[in-house]
Amino acid sequence: MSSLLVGTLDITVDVSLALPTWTQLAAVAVGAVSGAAYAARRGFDVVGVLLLAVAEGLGGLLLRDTLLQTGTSIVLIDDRYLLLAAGAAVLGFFFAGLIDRLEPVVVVLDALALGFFCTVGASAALGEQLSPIAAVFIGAVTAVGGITLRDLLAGDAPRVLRPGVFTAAAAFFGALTFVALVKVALMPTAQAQILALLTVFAVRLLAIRLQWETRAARDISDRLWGFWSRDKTSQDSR
Amino acid sequence: MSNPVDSVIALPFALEMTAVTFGALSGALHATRKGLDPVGVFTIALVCAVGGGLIRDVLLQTGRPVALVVPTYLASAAFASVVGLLFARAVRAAVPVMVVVDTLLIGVWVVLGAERALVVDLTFSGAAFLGVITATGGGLLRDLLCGEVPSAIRPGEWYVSAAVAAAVMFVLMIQAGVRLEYAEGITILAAALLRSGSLRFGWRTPTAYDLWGDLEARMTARLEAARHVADERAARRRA
Repeated sequence: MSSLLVGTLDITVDVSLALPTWTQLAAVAVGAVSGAAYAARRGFDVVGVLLLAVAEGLGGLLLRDTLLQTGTSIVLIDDRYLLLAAGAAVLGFFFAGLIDRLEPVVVVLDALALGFFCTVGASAALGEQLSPIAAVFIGAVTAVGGITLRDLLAGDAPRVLRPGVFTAAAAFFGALTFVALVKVALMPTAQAQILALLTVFAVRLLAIRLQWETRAARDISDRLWGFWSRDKTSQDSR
Repeated sequence: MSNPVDSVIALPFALEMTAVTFGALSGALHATRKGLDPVGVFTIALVCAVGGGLIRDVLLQTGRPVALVVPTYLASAAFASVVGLLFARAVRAAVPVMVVVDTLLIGVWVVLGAERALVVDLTFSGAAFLGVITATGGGLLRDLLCGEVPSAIRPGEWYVSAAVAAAVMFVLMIQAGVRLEYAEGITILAAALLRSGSLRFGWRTPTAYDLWGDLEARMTARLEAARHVADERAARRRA
């Protein structure tokens, strides 16, 4: 049980993943296209479309690499990432209408990208010998960091913090699944990645289908002990 | 690691300090216009002066941010923000001059950012991206801290777009083997021209154009017309 909390310093974790590099590029492209379409829909200018495409597509990976401090992010070293985001921005600039029409496809691809990013984030953290708890956190941040950055830059309260259909919750659950599979079930990361990705995918699509929504925080302090409410009513009656 | 500034041959240090000072001044002006308190003015001025460079250095991860290593950055930013705070009205009288200087400084920021990225052997897209971030990150952070939708992404005058164009231009010139001094000069000039052209002639940044919807509308119109012609022909034949 202690290995769950302390992290494994003695074993070098093999974090080879099942999915090849192009899947990461594809996931980045999905995020970038939806960021660009979002900016176009909101009436932002050409720079806004570019910026939000970069933010949603690459934000998660940038945040992960900044938090892990593993050197300059792959996103800045490999030209393909930023060029993909720029291409996505062009696509969003001219074809936002078409992208809106293809919403079912976008939803499915988004769910896949969400699952992919949370496993990529969590496995990178495990590879850096971080504790499982930190790995879950990094996985979730990698998955929803892009959307969060996009919302912040667009001047909205981040969607993942507001009650709504499972997004961050699905990502958190996926990262938890991945880390648990690797650390507790001792499954090879490659298989764990596929399983966790499918889990997030299923949770997210089911949540959309069946309208599972996160709720605003509820206060249960009164239900535990009436002391607080009694105090309040006595003040009110005065 | 040695002082990162030494490894950048490039622009003279004094120019960089001018850029920082002017960034802080314009930030302080913006903040006083928003009616922030002294702490707010100070914060916004600092963010405008060194925010872009901080984001760049954090993303680059090549050691501590330059703005924290070289004390001159924070010192000149602090000095300028105090001036902006205490003499807001006097500084505001100098706004026309500041607009000109600010126009010239876009390219300077871009060059500073992109060069620091090129020094650590980043590829061209990364360098261009960091150039843009250095030039515009401060303004972005300023607007976010003030709780506004960043002016960078709203349609308006060319600012970030000028920086983007200049950054891409600079990086391409370096790739093509243009001498550093020339590339720097051309970049700074190009950014200034784009920006002042937009101020002078009222160029606005374009918003998204729904090409698909447009094509679709055109196609349906053409189909309608064809159907109409066919109907008429059929009617004539019947008659």
